[in-house]
Amino acid sequence: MQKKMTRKDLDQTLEFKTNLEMPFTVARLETTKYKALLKQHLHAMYSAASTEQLRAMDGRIECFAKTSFVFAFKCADSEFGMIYYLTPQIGALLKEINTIVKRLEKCRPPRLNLSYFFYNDSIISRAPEKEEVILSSIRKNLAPGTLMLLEKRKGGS
Amino acid sequence: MVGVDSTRKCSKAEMDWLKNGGRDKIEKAAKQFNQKGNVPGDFYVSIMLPSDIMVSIRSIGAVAYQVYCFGFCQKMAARKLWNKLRNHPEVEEATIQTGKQLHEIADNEYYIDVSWHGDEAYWRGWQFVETVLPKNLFKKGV
Repeated sequence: MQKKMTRKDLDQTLEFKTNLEMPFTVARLETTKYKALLKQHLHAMYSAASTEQLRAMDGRIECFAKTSFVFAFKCADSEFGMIYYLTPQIGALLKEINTIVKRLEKCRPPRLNLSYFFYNDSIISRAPEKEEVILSSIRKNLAPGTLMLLEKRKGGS
Repeated sequence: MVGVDSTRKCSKAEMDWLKNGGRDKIEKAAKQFNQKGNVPGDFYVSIMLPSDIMVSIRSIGAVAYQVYCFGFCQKMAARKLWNKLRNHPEVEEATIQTGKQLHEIADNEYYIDVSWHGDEAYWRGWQFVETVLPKNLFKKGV
């Protein structure tokens, strides 16, 4: 069982070793490379938006990054995981992070809803069919690439 | 999709009944009516009261528009969702207001939306729904 996260811990990258074979880390979105990747992803997604709208979106990404956390798994050379968008209230925030950690320890990550997930090759997405791959990768202790390969083989044979 | 949406007047006692679980009963009855296969496709009933708290969001470039409805005793939950949504990068505008403001209704009125989705809905039209609706679902008719 892991120690509960505290207010001090929020600014650090924390490593968790659980009964999952893959260890996972928790870090603020602000301090990771995923903030820049998310910005890039959203700009590409809303390419039809006006410059003003994109500027407003950038401002919101800054706020979003402050209360969003990256839960990243490492499996062989792959890195994958979820970006959870949590509440801005500090007390509730700690509670939410601890709940997510607990659920990850049981291989039952909460559904993403308003958040995002990513693969090691820097693909950020929110598509429901890809979300399923990420969630089952965690449950099966496998990288998403390996899992998809195995599923393909299973389907082929 | 076919459907009706309108505002209806009611007495204070009826409004109190709707607020204190009556609305849930009607929506549940509609859900069961749908599950029993009385109408092919999806049949929905939603009732919005003037005291409800509505959180509405518009995405960037107005690609999507969504309204979340909370009962009058769920003020904290509505505020929490609104706080979360207004800083979401893909949301251009998030507003929190009462059902009265959103639907422009009086204190003794409620907004009702009854809709039926599916191919059959297109071919048979709303009249078909009226013929199969149980009488106790809408005592005063649709």
